[in-house]
Amino acid sequence: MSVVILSLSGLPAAGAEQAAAALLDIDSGGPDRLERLLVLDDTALLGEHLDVYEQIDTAHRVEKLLCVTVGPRPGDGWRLELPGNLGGVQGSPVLWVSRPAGIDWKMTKELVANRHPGFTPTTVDRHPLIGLLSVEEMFDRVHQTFLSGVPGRVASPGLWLAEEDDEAATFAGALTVAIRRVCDRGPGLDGPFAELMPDRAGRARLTESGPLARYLSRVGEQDRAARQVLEKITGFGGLLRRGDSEVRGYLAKGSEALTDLRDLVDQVLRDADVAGGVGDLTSNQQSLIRNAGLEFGAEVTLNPAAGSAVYVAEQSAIYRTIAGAVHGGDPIPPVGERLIATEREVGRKGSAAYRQEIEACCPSSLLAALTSASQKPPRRAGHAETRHELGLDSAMAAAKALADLIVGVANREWSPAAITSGELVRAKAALDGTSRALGGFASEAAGGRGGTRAARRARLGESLVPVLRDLVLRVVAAELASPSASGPEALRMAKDRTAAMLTEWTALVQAEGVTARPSFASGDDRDAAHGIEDDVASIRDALLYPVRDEMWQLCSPTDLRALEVDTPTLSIRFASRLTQETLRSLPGDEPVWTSSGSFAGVLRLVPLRAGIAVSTWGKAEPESPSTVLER
Amino acid sequence: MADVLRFRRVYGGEYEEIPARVDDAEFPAGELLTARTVWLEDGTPSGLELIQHRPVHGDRRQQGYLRLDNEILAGRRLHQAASWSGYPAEVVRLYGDESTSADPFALFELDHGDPLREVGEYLLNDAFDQFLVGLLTGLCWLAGAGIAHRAISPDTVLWDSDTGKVRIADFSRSAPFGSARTPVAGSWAWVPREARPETCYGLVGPTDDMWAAARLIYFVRSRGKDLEDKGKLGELGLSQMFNGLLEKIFGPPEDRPTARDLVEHGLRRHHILPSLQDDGDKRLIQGRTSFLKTRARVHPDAPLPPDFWDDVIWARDRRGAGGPQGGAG
Amino acid sequence: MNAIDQITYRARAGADGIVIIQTDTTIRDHQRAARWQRRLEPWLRAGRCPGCAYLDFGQEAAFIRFLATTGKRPGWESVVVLAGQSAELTGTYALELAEPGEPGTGYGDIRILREGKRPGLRRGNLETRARSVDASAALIAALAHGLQGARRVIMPGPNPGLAEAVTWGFITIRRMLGDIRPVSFLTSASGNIPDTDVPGILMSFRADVLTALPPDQGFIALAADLAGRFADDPGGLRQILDDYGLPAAPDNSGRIRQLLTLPPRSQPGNASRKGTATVTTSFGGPAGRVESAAPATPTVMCPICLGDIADWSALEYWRWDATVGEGDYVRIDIPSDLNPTQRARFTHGAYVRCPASTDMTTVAHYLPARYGRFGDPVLLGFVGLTQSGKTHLLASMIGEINGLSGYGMNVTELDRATHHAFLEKSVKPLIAGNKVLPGTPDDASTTLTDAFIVRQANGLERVVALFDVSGGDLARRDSTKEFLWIADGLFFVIDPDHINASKVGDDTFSNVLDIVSHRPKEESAAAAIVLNKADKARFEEPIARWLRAGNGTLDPTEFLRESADVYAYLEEHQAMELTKPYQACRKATLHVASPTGSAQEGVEKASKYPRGVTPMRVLRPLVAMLAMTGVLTGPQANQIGV
Repeated sequence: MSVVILSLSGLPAAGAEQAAAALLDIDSGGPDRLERLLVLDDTALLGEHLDVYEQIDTAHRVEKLLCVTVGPRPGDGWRLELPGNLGGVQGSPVLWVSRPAGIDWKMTKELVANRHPGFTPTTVDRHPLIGLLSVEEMFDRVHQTFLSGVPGRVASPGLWLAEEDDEAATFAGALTVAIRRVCDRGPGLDGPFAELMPDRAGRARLTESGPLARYLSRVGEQDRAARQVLEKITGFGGLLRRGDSEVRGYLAKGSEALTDLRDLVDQVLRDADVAGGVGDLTSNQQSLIRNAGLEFGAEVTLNPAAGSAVYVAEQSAIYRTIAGAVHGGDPIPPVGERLIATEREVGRKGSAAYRQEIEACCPSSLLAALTSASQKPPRRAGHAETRHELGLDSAMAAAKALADLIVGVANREWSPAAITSGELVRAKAALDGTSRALGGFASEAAGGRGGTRAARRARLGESLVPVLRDLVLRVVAAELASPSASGPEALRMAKDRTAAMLTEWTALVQAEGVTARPSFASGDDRDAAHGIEDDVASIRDALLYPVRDEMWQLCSPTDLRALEVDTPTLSIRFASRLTQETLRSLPGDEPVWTSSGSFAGVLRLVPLRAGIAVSTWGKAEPESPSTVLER
Repeated sequence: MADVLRFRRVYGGEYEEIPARVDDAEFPAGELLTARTVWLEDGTPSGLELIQHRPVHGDRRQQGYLRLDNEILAGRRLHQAASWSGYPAEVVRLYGDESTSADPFALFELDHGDPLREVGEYLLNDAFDQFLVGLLTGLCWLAGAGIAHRAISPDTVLWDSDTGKVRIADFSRSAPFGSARTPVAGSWAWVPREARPETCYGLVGPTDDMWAAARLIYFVRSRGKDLEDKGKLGELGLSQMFNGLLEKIFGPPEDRPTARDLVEHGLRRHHILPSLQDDGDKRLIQGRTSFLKTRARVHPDAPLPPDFWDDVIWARDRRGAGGPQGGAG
Repeated sequence: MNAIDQITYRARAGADGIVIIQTDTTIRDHQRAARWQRRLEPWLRAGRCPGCAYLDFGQEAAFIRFLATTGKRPGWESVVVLAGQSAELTGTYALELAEPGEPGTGYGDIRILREGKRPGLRRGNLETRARSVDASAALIAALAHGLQGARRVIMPGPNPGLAEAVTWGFITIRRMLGDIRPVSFLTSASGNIPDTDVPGILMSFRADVLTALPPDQGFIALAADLAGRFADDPGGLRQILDDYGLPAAPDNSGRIRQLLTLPPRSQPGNASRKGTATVTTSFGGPAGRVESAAPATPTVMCPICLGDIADWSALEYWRWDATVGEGDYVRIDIPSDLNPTQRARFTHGAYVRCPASTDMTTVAHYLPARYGRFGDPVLLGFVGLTQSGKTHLLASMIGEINGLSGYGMNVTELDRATHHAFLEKSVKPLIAGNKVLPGTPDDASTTLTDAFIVRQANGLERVVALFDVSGGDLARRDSTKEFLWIADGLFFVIDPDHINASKVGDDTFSNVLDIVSHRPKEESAAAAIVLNKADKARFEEPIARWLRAGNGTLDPTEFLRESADVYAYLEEHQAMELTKPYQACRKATLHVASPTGSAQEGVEKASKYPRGVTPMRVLRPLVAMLAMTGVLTGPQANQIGV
């Protein structure tokens, strides 16, 4: 059975009686039961409406009655005169709303009133308090609280409602928070991205059957053969002289192989040179490199089914690196700076520039020593010592160094898989373009921010960060998928793409609420619950609000003196039953779990000071206010 | 009803009146000038779109007049340097001006490109080379016109990534060579010592812009960083690129290389550059020489001060080669 | 009785402050001793230790030596006083005496009585120091004040020893000049120097004074000359002063006239300017009372009637009195017994009447009394075509005249009333009101617009008079024509719009050029050819560059470059006629200038300058002219215009 409202406000005595009669009279169409009657009246008319209240009393139909009387005290402005069946020890509870617009008031003796922002309903029945009392569970709890705890059963109501924000404003504010998280300069690693450095990204290697690898292995073979002979020689205490010539033979062959390797490395570095590292290899140079025995591993093995350009871009090393940093929590600025730091390292200068390193890897003097006819295994020397003196160790090290040099140069100068300066700059431009567009959105949003609570904005903002990161990465992927002709164009494109995605997202939010997930948000729903969780959090805030703190007290500043601030404050917490599960563990009194209405918050009941409220049926003065109250 | 704009076409034409549509919306063009878009009726449906600069109103209007004069002087000189044709693409083009009325204005062709402050750090390697050559060519044109821009910075130099062109804009603080340096307000990152209010001295010359230009080159090369000390030029390969000349720019203006020096002796490029002040200086030198002949008749015993020719750019560039012939009086 | 008595006083702290007690004296007569103490007490309180004072009361004199101080006021602990007849106890002699405690002739030494006239022990030291470079500046200042007739001279307190030497030199030179007026002094004085009437000059050196009140430049020049000669050769100075009859001069102004006739010193720093008066002659008595022997001040030409004024100093003084009728000049009667300062006060702001005014054919006309006091005034005229902007150039030039200080020149208006009137009539309306000024009427005669006294650093003062000449046909008016013959400098003002053959052929310009080119070269006027209203050509070369060249310096090369470039500009515009003054005149420069910085709105006379008025380069032609006419001197200035 719902709460029935009898509105007497503004009605003259006759009109009021008529309205009451229509409600109370069973035969003339009144409701079958009047379990809960909420009477709305004007404080100034209570005297005129005495008969109506008497009528309600004598009709014996109403089980529970609550009266909300609106307006200041008439007459001397001190006493609040109530009909005999309202207030007092036995009367029905009265909520005195001396000013529907109310004030913001902290319950202290200072009695300082602040203006309460927001609109005031034009009619009482549209006031949030009435909406709240119209909810059965709430009506019952309020009624019971009055009877059990409010002295004189008259109180001034105060409200603290969980804010019902404008979705767009909430989203804009929250997105601003998220943008700051993602775009503001914050802590992050510095220095180049190791995974994008040529030695990691170039994937150059020697083909097993190629000349370079062949020469390298031949040096190894001769070394091994020489070692075996030397073991024998040194094993027999150097008595057998026959082994000398064999060793020399192996040394000569090893030297030949090393010379071939050195010459080939030198030739490739010279002939595959691109002046200053600017420009591409000619087809001849490519075949020269290939024929010398160098190959480059494919970057990714693509799933033929998912061959879209964006998909391909998302598999690239540069994308994966950026995504790793962004999802890892790095803000955009440091990621961009690391890309530029990387760019400084990947600069090409042309392979010819490395030729001077050949001599360091494999000195001509070493080759001369290896081929020298005077090479003889030393007598009575240890095995390792002998290898060293014959130059075998040096020959192996030189071959290895030459191989490392050519592979290193291939990675940096020739590898199609190596990250280029252009890619890094475009990626930086894409990041910055996105950041600037997001920044623009944030500054606009900051200009037009509504009354969204900071706490809620922050929480919702946090939940939007992953989606925002997806947006950033989508822009980067789009740039990598179809590279712009120039850095500035990449910047411009990123701004446009970001603006378009923000528009899409905002429109979606307007249509489906802040929990809506745009198309660019990644598939996993790690944040699926962020919306509801955010709302619950907002309600939790409201329910945990300190009851004596500043809240919306429905009385006028001049009536504050009539309120009793010393008694313990009575309050009733309420929220939608939908949130009951989530908020079950909330400390303090059990809230009223309402079955209808979107209300959540706290109702504070501040009793009146003794002697203010007087309940009487007649014009005759009561003996004394106190006796009335103590009766 | 279209307004009628009365202005002087800078190719030397006399004042002409052309109907125009004038955009009411004004936007700032530097500190003391405002700009708005005008469309001159040239037979096409939309008209020829130009930007009109005018002095601000209020108590700074008088300074605005001077700034506008600077823009007009620079524009006209550049036209002269370009011999009224082949106007350099590296500088914004003055289309016409009205410099005599109480409400004067200058008409500029539309600026293409974005300030380097916005896009400078995203120039790719090949674009950087275009930027270098473009900037230095533009500065050679200024020197050719006998003008120092005096406000070179990432905000006044634009980059058009569609065409790969540099465009030097905002001549409101420019001054002809030989005029007294006036203090330039602004960030110390872009104002050389000789032009700062506390340390301003001397006469404007062809190396006044080089200090800021070198910093701008570093700004772009370093992808948006201000140069903190000239040692960093080496880190980015700029020292080698300019054959060690770039460092010399950070000395006093008298010892700095010119833009032409940077191209020819720094980059070692045989680039087609406008000759420095040739026409202007030749006229000046001819005139002075003629005066000196008269002087020699009137005051036969009066010697010619040894530094007489020092202010002539043409002579500057040929210092050591004896200066202008016949000028030594 | 002793010719010179000795008294010793001590200072003691008493209930009412410092009490001065006589502790010893050679004076037997108590009343006389008491009278000396009363007379000396204020001077005792004014002096400090170390230091001394000499007070010439006329018949009697006292010399006080302040001794060891405890740091308490009055700044000494004991003093020794010598008191006697002024003729016996002279200032120089007292200074020459050895100090108490020093060996030799000195205090308490009986020989003072017998050998009073013998040079004191310290004379040699005093003379050496008085002739030293250290003493020079103070000595020159003291002498200049003395020559100017000052009675009370306060000098910065150098160390007391130097002060004594300066004082000794000062008295010695005055005596050589034949000036026997009493001299009293305190070589280390406190702030409160009594002004009880010691006759003659009282010179006090005070430690709390940083600089002395500067005397007139003319007197400084004379004093410097005397001090220089004294430093070189005191005997020589005495001789030349005797030869030129200085000791015989009747009074101070007579002495000054005589000094002006001294031949120049050969050494540098000579300040004597033969034949040119550089000091105000207001100290000269009225006509008739001047010694006939004394040479008259040189002839000054009246800038209004162009007649010669033979003896400026003999002219009577007049003052403008607005209460007489509609205002008229009234004669000032100057009492003959005034001292120089009183006389100077009397004649401040006065005028003199040109003698030609007495001629029936000439209207009475008056000139500022100071006009002829600084030698030949420098006459500068502005000539040019009608509408060439002469009036505006003149107004903006005078509006910025204080800018000459940037070139080391000190400028003061010659006649406040005339200057004020021009400021109100022309300068303020132009500079503050941005108003277009009415041009000089064609029928106006050549008039003195304003005049200034210009001095370069510590050099000589010159009067510079500026004349606005009608732009009409100069040939029509004899006076104007005459002016062109005698002007020291002419500004040829050109409007860029007039640079074409037809305008150059204009009578006005050609007549001026005709006259200018016919003056003998060595006597011809200096010329400054000013391309005026240069803002009209501000986008052309070389105009743009020179308009923006700032105030510039006195560097002659800069003037030469500008001249060459403007010459080239005129040549390029086939306006060689306008360059004639350069060839015709002794010295000439060419300039660009813009009196307003921008053009007026419309052509109406009553119109305004919409951009406001910002004069550009208007002082440069004047600076060049001042250099070319010798107002500015020095190696740089001398090269300007050639």
